[in-house]
Amino acid sequence: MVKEMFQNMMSNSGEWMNGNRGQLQLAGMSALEQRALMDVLKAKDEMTENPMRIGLWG
Amino acid sequence: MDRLESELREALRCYFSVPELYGHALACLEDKLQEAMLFGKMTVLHYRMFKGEDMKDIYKAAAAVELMILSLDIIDDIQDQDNGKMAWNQLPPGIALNIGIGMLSLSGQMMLSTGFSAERRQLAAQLIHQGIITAVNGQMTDLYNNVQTEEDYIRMVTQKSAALLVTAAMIGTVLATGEWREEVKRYAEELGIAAQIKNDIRDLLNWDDKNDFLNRKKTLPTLYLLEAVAGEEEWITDYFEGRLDFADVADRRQELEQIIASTGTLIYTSFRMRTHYYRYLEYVEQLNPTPYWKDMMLSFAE
Repeated sequence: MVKEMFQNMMSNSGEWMNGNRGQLQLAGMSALEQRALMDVLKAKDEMTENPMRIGLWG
Repeated sequence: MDRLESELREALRCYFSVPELYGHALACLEDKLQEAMLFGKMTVLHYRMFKGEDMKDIYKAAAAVELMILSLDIIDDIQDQDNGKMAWNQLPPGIALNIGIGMLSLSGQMMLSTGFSAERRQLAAQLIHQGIITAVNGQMTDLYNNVQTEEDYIRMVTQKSAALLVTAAMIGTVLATGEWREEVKRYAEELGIAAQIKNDIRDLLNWDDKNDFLNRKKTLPTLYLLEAVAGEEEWITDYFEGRLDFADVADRRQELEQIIASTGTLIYTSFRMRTHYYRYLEYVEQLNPTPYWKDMMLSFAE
């Protein structure tokens, strides 16, 4: 279910990836999953020089 | 971890009496010693955390764990025909395989020859063998590339990789307490899965070394990518299904990286990785460790 929701979000022109996350539908995600997603998106925002580096934790 | 290193060297010296076996095994060990030896450290950490008091034999037990890991790494690289830089890949496969088999058996022997009580060293040896059998099952799924869904992938990774981290942690635990702790399995498994997803993200992006896209390996990132490009970017699906050759895609790295970004492959798999990692943190918290041990567990995972 999370993956399908993710794919739907990507198909909406990926706007949410570029900061427009107000309409982000997180229904169906646990609090832990929501935190994980928000942290990944935050890391993506911060990795301007090498976006591929968001594939890390910590 | 000097004590761990000296236990490993001593084990090879004592048991590998044929000069060629000893010489080649030592060269393989030298490569291993360049790494962090996280599994052995996991064993020692859990032993100490659960108030184990021995100062010597725990390092022999940890060395046994590391030897198990090294042997499985050697055998895995022979099977996958990758990691060409390692010492065991400079040898004919038959020779390297013999070294791997020798080290695998030696790991169990080392565990049985520690100075812990008969009951605890038997338990620890059982865990080594159980861990190997579980990993071999997962490895078979990997060798057949028999992963169709994300659930298949998680199941495979849990067996092939995470089970070894559980083994390392649980050996330290049983040597200290004499008993299996289900909560240890729970968090060690989550950390193991997170670590494997992290490796697989790296192996999708690392074009110059082993690359899971080029090798057509089904991992969490490649599964998501294939699903995301279905019906578009047909060259990706065509390559994965064998209708295109390596030469047809070798120069399309940049294009692939852009597709990985635009499909959200990296974001999605990073999200999945973090989910498991945060679950690891939650389960560790439930153990109610003292601040010192909590810090040790958290810094271990970094």
